[in-house]
Amino acid sequence: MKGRGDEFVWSMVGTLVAGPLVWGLIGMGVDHLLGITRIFLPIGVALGFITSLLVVYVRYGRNA
Amino acid sequence: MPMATDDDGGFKAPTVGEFFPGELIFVGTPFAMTRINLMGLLMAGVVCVFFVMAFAKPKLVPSGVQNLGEMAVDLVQKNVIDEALGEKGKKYAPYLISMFWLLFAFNITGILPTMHLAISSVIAIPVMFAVIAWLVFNIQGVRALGFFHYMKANLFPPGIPWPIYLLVTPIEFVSTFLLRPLTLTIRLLANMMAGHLLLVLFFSATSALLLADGFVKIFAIPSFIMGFAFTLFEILIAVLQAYIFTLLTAVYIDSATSEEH
Repeated sequence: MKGRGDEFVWSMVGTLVAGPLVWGLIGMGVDHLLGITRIFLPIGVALGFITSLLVVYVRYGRNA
Repeated sequence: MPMATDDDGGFKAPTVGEFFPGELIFVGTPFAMTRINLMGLLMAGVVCVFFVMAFAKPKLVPSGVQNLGEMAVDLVQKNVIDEALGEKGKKYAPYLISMFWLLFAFNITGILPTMHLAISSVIAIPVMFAVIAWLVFNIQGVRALGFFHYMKANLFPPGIPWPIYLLVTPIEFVSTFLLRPLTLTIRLLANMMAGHLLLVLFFSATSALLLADGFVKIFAIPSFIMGFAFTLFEILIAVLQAYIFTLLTAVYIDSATSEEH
């Protein structure tokens, strides 16, 4: 079904945005709590991005 | 269309103020209505009257308005519902067909003479459509799979070592439950706002250039041509955005009610 392709595209984009966003925000919160700047924010963004790639692979790539 | 030039005939760039017109009736009361509210009521009325006229007394061999009504229904049925939902789409047809034509009516006002502003370029409209879509796909998902199974299917993708869920589940939550309605809203809103600002920009420039002194007047011609071209383009965008919004709602419903995620 054509709709499936559309869903995959938008879901993948959503996941790839959500990963760095969620873990970047958590990293920023940790930075704020520890009174430091820009240590956990980039770590969170990188971790979120790698995890979102994993989710995209598991959900849409592995069985394609 | 808002005034293209300022008081002394100079160029006036469009601003977001375009989307916040003043109150027109019931001013100062909780029922105060702007031009956009009235346009929304009018266009919703037009869609309702059209479908009531088309299907109030349906005939086996359609003619006149019924023909148009059936074409309107078929367009969404074949291109959205059958594509995304298949057999189970019948149940959602009234909702999705109403959504498509209401969105189209709210988008097309951006180029209709005397209106010249898409109703869906005001954030409340895409937000309400997105919230309804969000409620529909989540409620249907819970009804189809049960609450725990639905949450498990969405938040815990199979085949991942369990410690990784600590990283994955927050992402899946945000992506499925927050970003879906947000992206539905922003996609429609941004397209309709940008379309309106482009039209105002080109026609403002045309007017300002025509009133200017000297040879710069000649640049009013390409500016008008661009404005005209973008007006035609906006028709395509009005259909396309209604289609995308409806199609994505349909695939979200399909995804929520399927065992596989």
